[in-house]
Amino acid sequence: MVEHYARRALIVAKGWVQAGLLVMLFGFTVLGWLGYRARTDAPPIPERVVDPAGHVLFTGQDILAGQQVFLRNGLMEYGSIFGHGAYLGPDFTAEALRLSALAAREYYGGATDQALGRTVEDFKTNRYDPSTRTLVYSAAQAAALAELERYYQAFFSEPSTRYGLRPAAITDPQELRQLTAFFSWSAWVAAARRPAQSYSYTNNWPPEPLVGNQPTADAVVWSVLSLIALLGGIGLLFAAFGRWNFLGWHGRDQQTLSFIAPGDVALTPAQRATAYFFLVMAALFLVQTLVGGASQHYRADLASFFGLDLARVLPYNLTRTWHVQLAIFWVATSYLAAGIFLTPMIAGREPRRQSWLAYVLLGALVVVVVGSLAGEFASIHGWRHAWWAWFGNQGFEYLDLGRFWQVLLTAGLFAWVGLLYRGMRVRLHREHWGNMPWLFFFTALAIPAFYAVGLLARPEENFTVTDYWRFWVVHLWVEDFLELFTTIMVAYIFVLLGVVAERVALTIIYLDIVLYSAGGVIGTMHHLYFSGTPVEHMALGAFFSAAEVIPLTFLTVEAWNFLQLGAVQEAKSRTPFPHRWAVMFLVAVGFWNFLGAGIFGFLINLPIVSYYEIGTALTANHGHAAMMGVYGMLAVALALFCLRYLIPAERWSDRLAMVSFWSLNLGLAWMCFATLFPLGIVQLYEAVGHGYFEARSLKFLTSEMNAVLEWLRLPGDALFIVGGVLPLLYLCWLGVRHRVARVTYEEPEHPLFTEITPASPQGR
Amino acid sequence: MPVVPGLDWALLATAGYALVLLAGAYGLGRWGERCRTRFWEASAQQEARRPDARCPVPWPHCEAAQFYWGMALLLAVSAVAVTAVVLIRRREPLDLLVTGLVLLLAGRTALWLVCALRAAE
Repeated sequence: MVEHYARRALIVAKGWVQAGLLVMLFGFTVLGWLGYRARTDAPPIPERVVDPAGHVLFTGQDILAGQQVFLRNGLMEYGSIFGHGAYLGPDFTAEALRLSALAAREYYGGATDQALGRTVEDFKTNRYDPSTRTLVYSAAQAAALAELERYYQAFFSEPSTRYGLRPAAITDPQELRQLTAFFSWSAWVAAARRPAQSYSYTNNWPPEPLVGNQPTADAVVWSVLSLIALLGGIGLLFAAFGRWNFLGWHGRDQQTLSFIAPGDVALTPAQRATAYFFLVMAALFLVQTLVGGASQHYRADLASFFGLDLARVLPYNLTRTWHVQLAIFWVATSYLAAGIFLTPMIAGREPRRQSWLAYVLLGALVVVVVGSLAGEFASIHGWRHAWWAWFGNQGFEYLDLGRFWQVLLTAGLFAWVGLLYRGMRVRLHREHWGNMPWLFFFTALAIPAFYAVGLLARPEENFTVTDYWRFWVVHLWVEDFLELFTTIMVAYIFVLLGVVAERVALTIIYLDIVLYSAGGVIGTMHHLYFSGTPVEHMALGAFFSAAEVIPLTFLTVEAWNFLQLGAVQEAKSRTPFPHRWAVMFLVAVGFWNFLGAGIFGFLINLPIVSYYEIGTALTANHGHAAMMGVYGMLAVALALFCLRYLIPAERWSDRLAMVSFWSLNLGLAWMCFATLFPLGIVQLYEAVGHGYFEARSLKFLTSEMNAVLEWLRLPGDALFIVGGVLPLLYLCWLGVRHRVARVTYEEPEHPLFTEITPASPQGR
Repeated sequence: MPVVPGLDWALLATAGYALVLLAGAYGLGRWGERCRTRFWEASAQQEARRPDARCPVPWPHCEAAQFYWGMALLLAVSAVAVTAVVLIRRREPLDLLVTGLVLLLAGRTALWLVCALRAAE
């Protein structure tokens, strides 16, 4: 039974809570409305597609079945559809559109202006009748469909591995016909005018002169307006900081304190259990980088892996599937462990048998990881079963895992929140719901809640609608809620270390909530410029996502003050600051937040840039710099913070942490500056100069100049894996092998520092 | 048609990219110097108020500056690498002159950063 204590009052002004709630409410109201519009204005899936004589070419069932063939075979991790997916294979929308247009132009007599004019007219005219749900292809489009079927039959039945797929990846004639129907439908969506509009369902994407696809006025205008939003927003931010000095990180100058040496901090059983979480985290990280290296090798040398025909066992679409899934798994494992580790320090105690539950959770996590990776392997290797979407490869990029594993993972995340609640229950009952313990709990709760939204993306649903829900996970879950949770954890760590007063930390958290949510929630739509959603998704997505750069700038500026806090406190402490390398990883997070998420992200964010750039190496450049640079480095920072207490002081190695820090950062920077960024610029130039289809073709990607750039990445990748991941893995092993023996169930008021002089009443 | 007679687009683009990387390296290097100076000032103020002479050398001053210098050095090395790739394929006198100048500048920048890093140890 929970005893009743007087609740501690809210320690910041109510206005902060109200501002946070209002911004969230506004963001999700607009996002909900955009979700409604995504459904009502999604490109139609016709019941039947017929030729001018009325013969059925394919049906709506064929389109959806083809979409499932596409997903089950992991083709979204090979090429892309509507620009979304992987970067080795073609964009299937752009490819089907180009091949169909070429065939249609040939039908009308070849490379003449008249033939081109008739081809454009054929593709632009929307002959879909909503009353009969029938789409009529012109005779030229029908002839092009037959050509398309022959092309994809040859491509996917290829008996060798020269495309990076397994030999004879798809040979079933019906599946090939359905797959072609899906690609042909996506090409129709990309070219046919949206009712009552002068542009296509995809805002005229991809750029394709053969069907008259060129950038829309909206793409240009909203690019300009989002630039203005960015400049104005940054100006306002700096003005606010100049005006209100209380914003930002401030130390607790009126206190003198001493850090408790790691060997003197007793840990609870659940905290000790996290050593195994971190070992699993590092092992997953290692596998993720190894399959990432293999994926990269396909781009440098498609023919062989140093003499081995790797694609027979690990085709590109499988290595990339595992690479992106493991990126989520290992980062999430670290966050889960850090949450478990911090809970008793926040709560001041740990209930009995909490560690057992932690071990059960870790076991469940391992089952989900192994089960889902095995399912993906089986599915991509041709496993055909009615339950493929449940246990095999669901196939959406970042949501590749089967639905069974997805449900299990969601349940596991909720169980983890239950674990945190169990640990913090007494403390929560004593606190105002706007104070830090509750925010820690609420943001933890948001992690399973928003991951669960991914279940709304279903393989048998209209692709536009599924993509809308998919990005709730890819963007909103990762970029907003994981970021908020980690912000709170980092803030809590510094409160626990006595570096920052609780009231200051809470103010920062609310400021982050307001800034992130103002841009990040509606900004999710910047992924959906060309996926078949109406133009307001582009307009609002571009405008609000430009505002996302503002908190990133804020974080970079604040990282400086953050460092100074540590310096000031250490200067007063009798003992050394124990988290040198954890904080250095946080410095790196500030750097990569600004560069990877801010600059590289904004570089590809404007609709007019994205129009030519989507699915090129510039996307990979942003993805690596932001995902690894921010979330990866945060995960390592949290791991090192916890490991510092898990490993006895005499076993801890600052040298290993240092090697890992430098290797991960230099390796990642090399990856970006030696290969991904220049390659992306070259690819963008090719897309604008010669065509998007050309820029995404294997012929261009494997050209001599590009191959040299791809090979140039090898030293960075090797440094990252050997110098960065292996030392981290060894540190995590030390955490398991030599875990500190002192166990406690009760934590002191200040578990990580001792106060020498009392704090002022204001705590600042 | 070449942008500059005798020089093709790829070479100029590579040289331009290398110069952008070097500019980035210079900016980060200067930022690292600034970090160090500011922290030294902060440390000096702390030193005056420090109650206990056994207090360890303040941190994370040096590493923060070293982080920026390390990243800057990587940019300079990247500039050398991308320029060298072009140099392997093109050996006309004008090409050699342009890439040679870029490499010289990259070498100078790298040397400055290496000295800064060594001095910080």
